[in-house]
Amino acid sequence: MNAASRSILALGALCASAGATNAAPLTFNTALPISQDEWILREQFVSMKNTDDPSPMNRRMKVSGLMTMLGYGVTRDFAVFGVLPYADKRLEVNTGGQDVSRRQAGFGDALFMGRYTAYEDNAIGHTFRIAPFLGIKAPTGNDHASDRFGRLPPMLQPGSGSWGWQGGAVASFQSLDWGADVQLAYQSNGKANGFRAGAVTRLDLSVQRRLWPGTLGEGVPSFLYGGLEANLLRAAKDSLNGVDDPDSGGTTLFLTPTLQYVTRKWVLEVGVQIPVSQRLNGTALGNDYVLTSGFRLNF
Amino acid sequence: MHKFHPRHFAAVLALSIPLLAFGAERAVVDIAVKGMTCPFCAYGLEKNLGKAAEVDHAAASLKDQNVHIVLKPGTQPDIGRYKQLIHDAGFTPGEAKVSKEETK
Repeated sequence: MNAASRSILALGALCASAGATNAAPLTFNTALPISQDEWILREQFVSMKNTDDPSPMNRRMKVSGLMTMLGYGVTRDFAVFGVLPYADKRLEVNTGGQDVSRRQAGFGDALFMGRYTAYEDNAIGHTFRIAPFLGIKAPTGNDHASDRFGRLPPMLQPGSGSWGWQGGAVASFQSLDWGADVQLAYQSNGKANGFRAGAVTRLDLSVQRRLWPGTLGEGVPSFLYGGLEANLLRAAKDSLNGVDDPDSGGTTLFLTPTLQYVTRKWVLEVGVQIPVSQRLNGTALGNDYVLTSGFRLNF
Repeated sequence: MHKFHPRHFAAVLALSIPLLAFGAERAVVDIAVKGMTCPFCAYGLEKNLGKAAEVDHAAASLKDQNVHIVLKPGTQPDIGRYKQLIHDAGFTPGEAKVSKEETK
């Protein structure tokens, strides 16, 4: 898996988390509800570092990004989401004994997604839901950016230039004390400029526990949740002009400790994705971490 | 003997209005809510119940797993409508209890 795939994976992961409306996972979706006619704004600041390069090129890639998500409850069971990423990508490579730095910032590809609650079981003090979701990625980002060295490689382009889609299903259990989510998702990427990023299949698990308050008071007190998430991602090889790139794709397992402070109208959240296992093809660039922090507003 | 002046009548009237208001009653409704598990979703529920014109305010309780709906004075509760609004917020309404309370 190269850095381009990595960036796409990370953005995809964040896009998939668009539906979070609760003490929900940081890195993927949830089946918990958005009320009818309710709006949710979610902003996530992402910092990602990839420096684990097995090749002599000593590639180092850093991505800082801002994900803006707007969600709306069309009905009690059907919610729609729009996600627009902005990323600043920097790649440093050692070529001929010299370090070369290339950088590009801009808005990326927008994602539009719908989620439908297919099953729910509500009881006093807990809820269990299953929700399939389907989204389309539109080529809204610039995919022809260049610098003094010429056209930038796909990994540094703000946009992919291609349409894509993602779909899957998520199941969520939430009680007053703890919650758990599991998601299975697939993301397919289209082809543009001869390049196609590998499709991504992922399995995600999350457990959250209320840390504070220890005992519930009257009304609607604010909650502090601690959580642990696991993301197993399998990326197919990228292809260029129909030929697979042997130095791309692979399987990564992330573990993500999270903290969320949840009030009636807003949520603060932070988490760091740590790659505990990376089985990448060829000289694909490994990930160091993905740090995510952000907030959500309910209006 | 003192003569009754219109100014005296106006003063008595002005003083008695707050007393009359203090004694007024209004209906309150408590409805059990199934599936309400966190502060963020409780807000959506309270906001949804505010769509009913006669509702003065609604306050959810996570501990008691219900919502306390306070109506404007002189209005009648519409339980069916409140249950539908709870349903629209993504939850399942349970038993409802109507009572009266004095306005303060």
